[in-house]
Amino acid sequence: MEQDDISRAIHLSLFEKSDAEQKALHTDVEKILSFVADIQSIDTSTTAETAAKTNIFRDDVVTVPPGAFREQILGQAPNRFKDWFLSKKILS
Amino acid sequence: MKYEEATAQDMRQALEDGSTTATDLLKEARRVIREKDDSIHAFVEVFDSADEDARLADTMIQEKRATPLTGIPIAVKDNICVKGRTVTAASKMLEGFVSPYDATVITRLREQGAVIVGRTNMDEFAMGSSTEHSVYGTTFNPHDTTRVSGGSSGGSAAAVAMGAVPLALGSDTGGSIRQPASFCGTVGLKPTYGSVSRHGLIALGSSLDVIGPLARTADDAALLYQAIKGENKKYDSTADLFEDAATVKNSRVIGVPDNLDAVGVSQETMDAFNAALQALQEKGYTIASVSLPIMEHAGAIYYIIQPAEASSNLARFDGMRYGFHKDGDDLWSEYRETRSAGFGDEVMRRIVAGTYVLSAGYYDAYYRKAMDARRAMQTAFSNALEEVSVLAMPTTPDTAFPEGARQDPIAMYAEDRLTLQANLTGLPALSVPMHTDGLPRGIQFISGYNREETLFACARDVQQR
Repeated sequence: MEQDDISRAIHLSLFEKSDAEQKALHTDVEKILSFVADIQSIDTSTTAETAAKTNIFRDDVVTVPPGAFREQILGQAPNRFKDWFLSKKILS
Repeated sequence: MKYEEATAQDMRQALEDGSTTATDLLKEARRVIREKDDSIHAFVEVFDSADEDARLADTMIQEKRATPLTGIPIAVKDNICVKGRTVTAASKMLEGFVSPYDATVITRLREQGAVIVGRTNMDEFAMGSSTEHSVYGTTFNPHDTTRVSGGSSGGSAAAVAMGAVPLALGSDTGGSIRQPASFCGTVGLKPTYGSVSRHGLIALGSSLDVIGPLARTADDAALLYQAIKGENKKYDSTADLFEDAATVKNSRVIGVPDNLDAVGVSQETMDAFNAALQALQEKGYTIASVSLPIMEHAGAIYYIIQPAEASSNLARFDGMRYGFHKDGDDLWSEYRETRSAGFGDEVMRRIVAGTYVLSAGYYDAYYRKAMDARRAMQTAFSNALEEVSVLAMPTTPDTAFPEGARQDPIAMYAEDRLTLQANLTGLPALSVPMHTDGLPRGIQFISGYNREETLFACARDVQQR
């Protein structure tokens, strides 16, 4: 199993664990990948998934009045500055 | 009328003839919860706001504006948004989050004057088959409180089974309504994909998720399904994606897959299933064998597609805008600290597996292959449903298992092996209890797209001896 690629997926998922927890997570994901390995045995030579896509998007228009939920939403921000969500510095 | 045993239709009758009121029914619901829920733990919150719902319902009844659900107590899974109430998907990640709006299904229930009694326990973000993976702890089976209720809508199934409410809403991504319905001895419907709005449902796998009813009878499940289905033009997540099946060639012909042995079903469940089929034959149904070898691959297909979608849907939980937040040294460490402390183990496993199968180098071998295989499964099931009116199989391999008996994640995934197919194909499916001694076991029917009525008819024939 591709050890480094699972570690990379853990990193990309934005998880940071202790060494022991990281190892347990790694082992479980290996098990999941072994469980789904059977996928390769399915004959899909006659199916074309891409042909079956249907566009179900609605028109790209705003359906909510501006500011309708502003206070309910901002009021739940862990850190807030006036009418903005407050985060740590993004650019260094 | 004994409240715990009354159906929604019994309650409707009692409300109409004035022998009870919505306020009285709500009192009864709270009494049952008080008496029984300490040992079952179906509810994570009983809403104070239900008093106002009941008053409005009683006014509707007095003013002769009642609809089929007016005054009926209903429980709601903790991943469906109710305005002004906490909703958490049983995750620490959404600790204290209060929904700013009603889900479309809740809007529909309010229009009908239903009484929203409270929110029910579930596996975290609907990932699980036992309601053990919840930040609130396990929901136990009302038939045997050493066993699990099933999942992920275990709280909703247990709430109905224990008699707290006649109706509850759940959501079904891979069996999360039908499997707990089977374990708890209730009826559970996974509607046709796209037939019920997902607006206000906390997303798990968006190409698989659907909200549906749990009830004690097929008629009650039909009542709730009728109330919630249909589009919401403003926030649309409904779509008529599938053409209705052409007129079914062979009505009242039940197709049974010939490979249930290979899929893996316990002897006791097979015996109960065969007895149920026998009873249906006596009511005029014909039983036919159908070949669906691709059924056996459902686990592999599902546990690629669902984690892939979950990893994408759950990327939004970063602790910046709502819910749980953990401080860190800089922005990236805050994201990592928050996500690592906020999500439970099963959720993290699936996010990582999903990230892996979507990553460059593995996308074609896993995700694209799984999408092609999913299409092959849809074709196989559609072809089978041109020859028979419904497919039937047990809902679960066996009865409810004891708490803690499925520690290995893969052993837990195997519990869904008879329910995943309906989600992958988008077909509607319903579980109804078979007549068995001891713990409940469900029989599952799968019909063509938008043919829920056929499922209700089969379920009625199973329930009425």
